[in-house]
Amino acid sequence: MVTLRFRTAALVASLLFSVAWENAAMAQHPTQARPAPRQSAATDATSTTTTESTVAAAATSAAHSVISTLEKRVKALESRLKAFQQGQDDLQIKQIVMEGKVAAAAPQKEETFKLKTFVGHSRALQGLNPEISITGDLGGVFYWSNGKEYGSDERSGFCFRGLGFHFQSVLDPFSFMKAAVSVSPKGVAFGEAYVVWTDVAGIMNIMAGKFRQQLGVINRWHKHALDQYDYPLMLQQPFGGGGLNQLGVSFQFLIPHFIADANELYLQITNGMNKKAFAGDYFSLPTTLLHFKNYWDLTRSTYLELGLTGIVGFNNHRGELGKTKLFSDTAGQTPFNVYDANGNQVDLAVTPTGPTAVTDEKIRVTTFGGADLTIQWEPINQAKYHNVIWRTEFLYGYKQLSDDTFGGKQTIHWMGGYSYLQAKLSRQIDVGTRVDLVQPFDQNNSRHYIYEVAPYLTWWQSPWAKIRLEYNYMDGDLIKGAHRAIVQVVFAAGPHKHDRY
Amino acid sequence: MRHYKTMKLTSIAFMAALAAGTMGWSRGAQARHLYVIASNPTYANIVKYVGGSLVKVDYVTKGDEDPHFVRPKPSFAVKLSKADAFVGTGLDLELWAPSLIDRSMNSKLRQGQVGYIAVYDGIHLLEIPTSKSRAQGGVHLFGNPHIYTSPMNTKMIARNIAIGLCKVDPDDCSGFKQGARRLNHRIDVAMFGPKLLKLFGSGTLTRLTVKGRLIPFLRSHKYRGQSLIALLGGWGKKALPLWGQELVTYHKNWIYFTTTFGLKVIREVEPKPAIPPSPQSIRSLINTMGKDRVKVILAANFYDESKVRMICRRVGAVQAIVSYSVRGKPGITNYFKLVDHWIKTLLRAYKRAGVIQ
Repeated sequence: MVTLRFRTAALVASLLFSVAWENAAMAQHPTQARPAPRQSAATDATSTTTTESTVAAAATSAAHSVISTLEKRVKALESRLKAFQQGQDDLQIKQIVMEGKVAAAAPQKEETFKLKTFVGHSRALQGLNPEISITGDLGGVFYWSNGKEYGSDERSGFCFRGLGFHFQSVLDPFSFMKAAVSVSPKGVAFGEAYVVWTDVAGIMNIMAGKFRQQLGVINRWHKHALDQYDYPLMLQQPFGGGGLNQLGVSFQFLIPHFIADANELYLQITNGMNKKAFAGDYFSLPTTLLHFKNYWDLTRSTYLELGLTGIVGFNNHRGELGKTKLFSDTAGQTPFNVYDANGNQVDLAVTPTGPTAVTDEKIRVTTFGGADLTIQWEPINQAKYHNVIWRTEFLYGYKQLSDDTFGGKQTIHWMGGYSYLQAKLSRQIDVGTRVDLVQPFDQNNSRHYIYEVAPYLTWWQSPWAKIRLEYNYMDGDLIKGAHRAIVQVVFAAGPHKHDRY
Repeated sequence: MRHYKTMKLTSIAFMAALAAGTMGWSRGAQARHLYVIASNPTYANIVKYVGGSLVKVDYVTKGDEDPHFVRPKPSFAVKLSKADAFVGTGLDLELWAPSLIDRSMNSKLRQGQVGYIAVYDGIHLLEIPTSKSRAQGGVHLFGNPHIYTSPMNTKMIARNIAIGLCKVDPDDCSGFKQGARRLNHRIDVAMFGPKLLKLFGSGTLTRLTVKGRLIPFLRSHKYRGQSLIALLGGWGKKALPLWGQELVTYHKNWIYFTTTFGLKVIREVEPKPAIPPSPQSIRSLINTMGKDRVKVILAANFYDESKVRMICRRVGAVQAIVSYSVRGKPGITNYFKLVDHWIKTLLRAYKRAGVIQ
């Protein structure tokens, strides 16, 4: 390329040089620019002068014509040279761009033509399996009360509270499911299993199945996800150690937020299958729960949530004693009628007794009303390292019991609550204390109380494993003071995640 | 009779009010914007570039918030309940998003529905784990989801957003496409400068950059007697002193940035993603940094700054604490300022460390 350029430049230079030389020669010796015309001696001076000037003019004109022609040729050559150079540039650019493209291109795989085994996937659809995760909740408890390291239903030692199997999957474009089953040395517990349809009729989510109910905040959470070792006494006293977890249907509404930044309403209709608060296996009428949640973003880092909950249910027993069977209203009559095992209506006046006796107790109501308050401060840009949370719940319960032998009304009026304060000190350490104060869920409890104080420290080894140290002191006017020192280990394997906020 | 007249007047007034109301409503309907919620302010900013005056944008996580861990608060659900579209990465970064969308009861934002826009689509993902195990910490199963740290990926993000918005509002599709094209050109000019862009075009330069081969290529080729690197402008030119420099990052969230600008990540402060650094791992890191003479630690401003400073003090390194997203610091109001901020902060850090002039 350089040679070509050089040759072109030389050619142009020689042309320019020859033109310039010719011009210079013409300027110095105009008459020599062309051969001198022959002159006759007989010509007079005037005619000689005229002739000379005419010749000179013609010569000049011819010379100008030549120069003009040469100039045009030079311009044409210059133009060609420029075009040539441009072409060279274009070529170079194209070459560079091409090299760029080659450099940018991924190395191509060599085509092979080897014999191979063809594999089908129709029996390998594991990719469609639900998300499966496993949680473990184990540890050791040292119990001390009344000078002994064991109590009536508690003793010191290692414990495995539950190995949880959690499944979740999108079922179709409209719904998804979640299920949780817990296995422990005591047996298998059917935790939760439900289907959720979102955005039904554009106004609600519907959940159907067995689920932890929206009673305040904590009751929704699984045990391994609690901030402390156990559920508050406020849930344990009226509903048992597992809180309120029943079978039914839940309607969740995100209603227009008229008094807060977000308002949610939950309506849950379930079987009254909780043994302590409702009818247990002998339920017949549904329990209805209404929860109204109000949420405020107070600042960029702080939120406040206030919830109100009301529950109405029934605790009278109905059905065939000795069997856990729900009477169905197959005859289209009111469910207050009682049928025998064959579906025949039973005359209540002659209700059989014994292990298969069918009972139909008079309706007894259980109601609860409660409130929950949460304030959390968590600086946005340090959310992994610091936060402070204060949560309090209060619950009032009323339960009608069977009339006494004299026909007198028997009832339970009960109150309970808890409050805890927790601070995240670093990415790995949470500390906090919970205080519980409840009445025994029993008759004649108006002057009785149970309280518990539970300071704790949780160390997060990683987002999937934590170890907690907790001390519990429980006391009351009817019970002996009991101490518990707990080491708890919780782990989650797989894609397990919580939707807590 | 008088009563009749009153009734007639009332009827006319009612009809007029109804007509005015209907006209007002229809005008309101005409002026309606698409309401888009993005998972973070950077995506929101890109949506604004693409949609311009046709969209109204809001976002969930704040600019100085870790996008991995966001509490699905009810107030976010309220925002989402009104949205026409949700823009997220679409990988396993925003694990909080599905439950929030469920809670919002806005089914058109669910995955696979018309209002769901996953911006990762079409991006060449890096760091796809070969071993999908928690032994590697919080691995991202499908590849590193921190995609917008490379301006080259942001062009694809803009394209995906335009496609998504077109699906939601086909009438304004040409406007969205134009918006994406405009942004892509602006990014190209900002990244390469106009001369190099004119010479090579966007496609070749983008492919070279994504593969980390642009600078070696420009250095090894000449044009009209001078190295092609002289034609490089924009961020590429500004960041040239960073090419080949080594650094430590806090988390594995800079791979696209470092590939684009030729930095070499030696290690992370976190021993594995999402695993908090232990005293032992920090000691090991300090040894490595001392031995390899690594002089800069790059960290987003939602990580533990005190730990970064402590390590820097121990090894004589300089910390580059940056905003990770648009609106993560005052003044970083758009994507261009964000990339400027990253490059300037790193240049300053390397200068302070005496690594570059």
